Amino acid sequence: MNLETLQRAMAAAVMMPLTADDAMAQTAPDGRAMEAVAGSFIAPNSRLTAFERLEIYNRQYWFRMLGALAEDFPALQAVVGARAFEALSVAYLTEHPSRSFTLRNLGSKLADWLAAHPERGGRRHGLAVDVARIEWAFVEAFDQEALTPLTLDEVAALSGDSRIGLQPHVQLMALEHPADDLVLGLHDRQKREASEAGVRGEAVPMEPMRLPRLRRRATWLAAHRVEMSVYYRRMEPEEYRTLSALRRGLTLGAALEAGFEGSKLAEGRRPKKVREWFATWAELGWLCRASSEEQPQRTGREDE
Amino acid sequence: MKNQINALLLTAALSGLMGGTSVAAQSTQNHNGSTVKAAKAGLRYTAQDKDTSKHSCKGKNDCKGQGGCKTGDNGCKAKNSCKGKGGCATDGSKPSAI
Repeated sequence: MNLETLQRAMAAAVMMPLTADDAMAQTAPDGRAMEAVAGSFIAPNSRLTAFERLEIYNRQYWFRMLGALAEDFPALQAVVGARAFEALSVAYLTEHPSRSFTLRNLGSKLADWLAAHPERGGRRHGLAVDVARIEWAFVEAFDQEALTPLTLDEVAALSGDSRIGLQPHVQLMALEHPADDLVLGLHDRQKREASEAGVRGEAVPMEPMRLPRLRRRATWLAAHRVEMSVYYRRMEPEEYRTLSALRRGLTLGAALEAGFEGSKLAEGRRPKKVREWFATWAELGWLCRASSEEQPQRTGREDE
Repeated sequence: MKNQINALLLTAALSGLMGGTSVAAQSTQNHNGSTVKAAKAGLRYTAQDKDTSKHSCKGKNDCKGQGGCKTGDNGCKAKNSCKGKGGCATDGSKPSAI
């Protein structure tokens, strides 16, 4: 067995889902007994069989992955419940195992994956997807790049045919529920409970939470960073659409047109709104030089 | 008519951009940039304070040996502390059940 074959065999075994009681499966996906699979590349020692030695790494991999995902999505866990969250995490990680050197990226596809798997979101599937989007946006807003904002000279040179970039840390979301308050509230509560449990030297309680009823209402949100803090800012739909169009690489003139397509906002009120939005974005440093390869952002449903 | 409306919107956008960029430049000069921005930034995510160290080591490797960072299981790696225990998790969540 050469090194590559050995590494692939080890990875396949380590990333194999655990059984319901957190043990290594007795049978490999190809039908072979795991005892034989383990014995083909791991030697037993005086205390442990080859199966038991491999099982340590199999369990460690899953405990680590599940812990990492739970840390980034505590509000999603509260919405669907701890047991359902673990089940959906296993299903998600089986389809999207860690492919990066950093576990920071582990949950990057979770919101889209959950949207495509309504059976995993429980009776509040739509809310669960929104919550996952908001929580992932925090990760992106926290450590995505901040480019130099547009200068006065650059602004003075703009025209309707100019393209403007949007800071990579600005995350745009189109949600079905106004779930931002719920997520922030749950995170605050988790922080408080973790702190209190820490003082008492206890584990953080995992009791089920009673969540407020949240009616479906289209909500447009931006997560972004100021200094070292992440903020969530609600937006009007036209504002969201204009920003999304700028991110897609449309010219300033075309982005404004796309922003108001189908809008019910009275035409007489639009210039004032536009002036306010652009002034706020500029003050927050959201706008920068357009890169030559503006890419559509995957956070939220920007095609709504 | 449509062109006229579009021209009005474009003028509004450029004047807003100029005004906002001027305010940002002035507040930077006056060293009150953060205050001005925070007022318009929206709702601050306060629970992040405890997570700052964890997130700051995500993607870097400066947490080696600390055992609490997701970038690698450096807490139990090469220490043999989990041998015979059936798994090692630095956050302590799962091993307690073993």
